[in-house]
Amino acid sequence: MNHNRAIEMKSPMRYVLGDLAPADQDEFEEHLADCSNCMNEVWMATTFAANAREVFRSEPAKPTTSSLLAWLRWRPFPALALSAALNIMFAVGLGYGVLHVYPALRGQIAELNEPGAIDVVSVRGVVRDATAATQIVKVSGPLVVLSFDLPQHYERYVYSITNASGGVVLSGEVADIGTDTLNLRVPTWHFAPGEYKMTAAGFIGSQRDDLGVCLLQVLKR
Amino acid sequence: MTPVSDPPQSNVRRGRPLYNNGSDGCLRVEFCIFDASYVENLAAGDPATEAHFSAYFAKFLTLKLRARHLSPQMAEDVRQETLFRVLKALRQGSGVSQPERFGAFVNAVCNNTLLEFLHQQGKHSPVPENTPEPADDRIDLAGSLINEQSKRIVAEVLDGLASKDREILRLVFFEEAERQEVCKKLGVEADYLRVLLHRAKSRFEQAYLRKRESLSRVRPLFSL
Repeated sequence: MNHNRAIEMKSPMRYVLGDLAPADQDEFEEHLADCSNCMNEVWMATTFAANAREVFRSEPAKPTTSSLLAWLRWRPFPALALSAALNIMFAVGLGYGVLHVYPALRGQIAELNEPGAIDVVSVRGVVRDATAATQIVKVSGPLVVLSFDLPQHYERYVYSITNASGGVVLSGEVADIGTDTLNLRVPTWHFAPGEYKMTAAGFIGSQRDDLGVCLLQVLKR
Repeated sequence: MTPVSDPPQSNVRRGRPLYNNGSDGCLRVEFCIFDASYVENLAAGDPATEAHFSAYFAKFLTLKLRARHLSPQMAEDVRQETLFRVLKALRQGSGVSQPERFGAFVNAVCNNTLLEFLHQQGKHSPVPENTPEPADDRIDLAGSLINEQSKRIVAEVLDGLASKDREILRLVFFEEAERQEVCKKLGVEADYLRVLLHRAKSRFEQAYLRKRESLSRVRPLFSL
């Protein structure tokens, strides 16, 4: 191999990269030993490659991405499909809210803004007679006001509404406002038809007095 | 064999190559053409010619044996034995019939030495079929090529490359990924890597020579 042929075949760089066929490699080495130019080319390229390897070795490791993210990055179609599916789900949810939930809420809000009749039911006080039946209050509207006579003023009042299986569906606490009766407005519009037990009690410190118990019968509207 | 382009005349006198100790204490090898007087001087034991011979062919043999993926120990043994046999052939044997092809002669001696070593190794320690692949220790063999100054320059050259080119070199030289896989992954032709290496090598060489020149200008000031 002469120098022209070596240059023509791009032998110096191909030698460094290990791309020469064994016969070409032998031929080039025979030339290399005598050719200062090719020797310089190969030496410089080999030095560059060896040092580059060390530079890359001393670099901090790249943050690794999860295989799923890498997979999605290299394959845009599944990533776009996933994004489209999420968008469709969001649009369906939004549509349901706009078409179904919002009109119902608007109707209920409008109902509350208008004056109208409301059931006010007086709940009997607690009696010691074990045979006395529990008072039943039938509810057909969205609201009912339960009125409890107060034998005295209490610091606070606690109420609780439980369903037939004993699960609490509504409970809370209200402060005394200085009246002789406790009028509790109970929203029942979201109650499913059925029976619910309502209890109310007054507290002074830790002392509790039961004010009344009744059974709410929510009718099908 | 005579190269087409001679080294610059300022570095070489025809028939007597120049080789000297650099200002940094390292032996400067000026790549030059061999001839009858070089071979005569070497055979006669001229110290400067001997120093050049060992430095020049140490480089050549390093490159050659590195391409063969030998263990560092074996590469060193083959290198020493080759240089010894060449000197012995010049001083006690028949000498070299074509002094202008002295490099090819050294290459042939190295090939014979290498074959003998491989044959000996095969004879003494046959490798069992299920033996795991030996660790790749070419890094150690390339130890003479690597130093802090070169690393700094190479790092600068790499920083100056486009990120795609840098990634190609990282995959090939560091990850040792399959060439075809790299080309497919980064969408480049197989020849692109060779062109990229050539370009990076040229930038490295220019920066390296500039640095060496500036060092040789500065050091005499400190020696005053």
